[in-house]
Amino acid sequence: MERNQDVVVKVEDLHVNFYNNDRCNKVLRGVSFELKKGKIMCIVGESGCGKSVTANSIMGLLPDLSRIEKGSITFHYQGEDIRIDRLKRKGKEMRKLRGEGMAMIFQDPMTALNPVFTVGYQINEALLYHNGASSRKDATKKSIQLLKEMGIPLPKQRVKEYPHQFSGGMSQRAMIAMAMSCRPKVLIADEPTTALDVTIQAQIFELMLDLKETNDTAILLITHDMGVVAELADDVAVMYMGNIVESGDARAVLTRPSHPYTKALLDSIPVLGRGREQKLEPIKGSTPDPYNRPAGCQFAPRCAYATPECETGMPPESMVEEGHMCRCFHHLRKKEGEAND
Amino acid sequence: MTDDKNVLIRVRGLKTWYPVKKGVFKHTVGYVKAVDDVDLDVYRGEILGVVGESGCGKTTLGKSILQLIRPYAGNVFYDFPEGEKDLMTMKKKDLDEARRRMQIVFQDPYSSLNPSFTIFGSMQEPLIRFGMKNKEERKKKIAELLQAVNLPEDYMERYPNEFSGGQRQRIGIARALSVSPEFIVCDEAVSALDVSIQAQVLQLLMKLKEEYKLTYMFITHDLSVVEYISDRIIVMYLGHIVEIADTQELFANTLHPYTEALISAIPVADINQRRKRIPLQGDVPSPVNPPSGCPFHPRCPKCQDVCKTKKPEPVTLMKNGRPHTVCCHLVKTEERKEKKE
Repeated sequence: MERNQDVVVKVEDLHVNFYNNDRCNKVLRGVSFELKKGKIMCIVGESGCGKSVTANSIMGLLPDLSRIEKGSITFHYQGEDIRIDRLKRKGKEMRKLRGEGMAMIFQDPMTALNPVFTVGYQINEALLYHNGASSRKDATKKSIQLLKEMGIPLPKQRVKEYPHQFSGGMSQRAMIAMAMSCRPKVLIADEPTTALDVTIQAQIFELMLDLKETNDTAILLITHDMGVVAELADDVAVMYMGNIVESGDARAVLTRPSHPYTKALLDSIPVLGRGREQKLEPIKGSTPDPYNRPAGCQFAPRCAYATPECETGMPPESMVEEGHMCRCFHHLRKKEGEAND
Repeated sequence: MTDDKNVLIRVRGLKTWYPVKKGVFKHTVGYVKAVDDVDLDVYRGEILGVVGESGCGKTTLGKSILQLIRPYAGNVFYDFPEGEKDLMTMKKKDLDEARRRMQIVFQDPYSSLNPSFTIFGSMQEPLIRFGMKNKEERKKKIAELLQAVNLPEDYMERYPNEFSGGQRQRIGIARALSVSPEFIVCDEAVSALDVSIQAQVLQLLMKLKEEYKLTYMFITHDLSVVEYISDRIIVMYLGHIVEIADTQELFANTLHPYTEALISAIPVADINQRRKRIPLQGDVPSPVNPPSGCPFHPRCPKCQDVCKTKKPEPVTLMKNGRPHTVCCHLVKTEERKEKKE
């Protein structure tokens, strides 16, 4: 099989189930996408749609009572294809990959850092574990360098401080420093700026764009903010209840949305600069209970174009144009109609 | 709209300082100046947006106006039918009576409803307080209110845990409406909600405003929401108001460098509209030790010598017959130049 050299992570038809209290939540129901070198891929969606679970399954950080039922995650690393879904989550190989091959930034920087160790110690840990540094002294030197790269003032002093002495923006920078310490191929950012102010958010995004350029890192950015997608993404995947309903080049998806959910999502957010004339079209209803899902297309109960066909099953993937995928019966019908004309 | 008749609330020199206590005897060693010397007018029937980063005193300002936090100094004149009265010097009994005119919708819909009360239980409290002693009457009133916020009336027998965030927020709004107030403070009323639900609640608020002739003070950190909903916008920074203007005027003709940076930092959900960012350095300074002079000068890209020592006075310019107030030395000097010419 021919493989695109730029693809670093390939996720194919991923199904993940969570089990609790004799109930089973089918969190991911067939997710496929690719992460490419030096590109930012954004996953957008409402809360509970499976964005974070996708990220966690790539990192092998799923909770104990969960299972990858079907599908594969392939990580191309050091000339080998590693099947992450087959590795033991707490095994030696996975531990080696985490931090060295791929790294993750979490949502809330204030709770992601350990409060009883200095920030420097926590960055050193990754460096020492992955043989990025020969001694503790050497590691500290590198940590200072990293903090400096991330734009933290007075890094020599800051490296000895504890997380509570850092502000939210600075903690997030420290987290990024930690993630980037072993120059990973893949950086997964799970809502990295949700807890931060917009001015700090802008600073963090500048930093991430910079990292993408200088290190050629593949970045998977998870967000619920369409604004972030428009500003940063090269590729975008829109998720709804465990499925990617539309994906492709960011410009194509945002300017020519094909799935009713993407359209509705874009119509429901106020856009800066359009003032009070803009008309907001809220999506009616709310997301269904994950334990009691609709039988067919997950969006059908809230969709304006729903037909009886939509209740029969999840629509297949169809291409809108080159590199722009959409899963919708309505779109399929429209396409067939055009072909018949 | 500028004549005094339409002013609902006049705030003059409002200061809300929280004491910082230290030592065995709890000496007051300093103050956190959460709101410092704020003058503002709220006009009848308008939606006044308040924006700023976290910790800038938005919420404290809202709560201080309602006297939910007792301010340290200043006056809040409220326009009662029998004449203007200062809420600060009112007796507790009178103030309680005045509360039927002003209500608040809280930020977090999960903690603002008592989990051990049914919706009826939570919503009847304000009605009992304001003299609706007959239970049947209360039931009827609550059913009406629930209908007004697009919820079925039989929801009143349920408990808060049965509802989603958007539904809870609507119950919170219904509760605020129950005593037929004139003035509602919406403290980040849509921030905790998913984007698709956010639009529903925003439209509901607009609809209710028309129906009940309400005045809103809409506190948020999201500039796109505020641009969509408000007539006038207040921009706050570190307890001070830095700019007040009509919404269109503020976005078209931004005067304060902070507002400019804030607007430029927002990711815009329109891929064809990428603008140049003005990155701000550093974080918001601590309000215990505010910087000398202009509070914004350490982060200001246009900082001059005078900004470091002298606190700028608010300047009101008339643009197309509408006031545009700004608190910045640079604006003053520009104006002076114009005068000389």
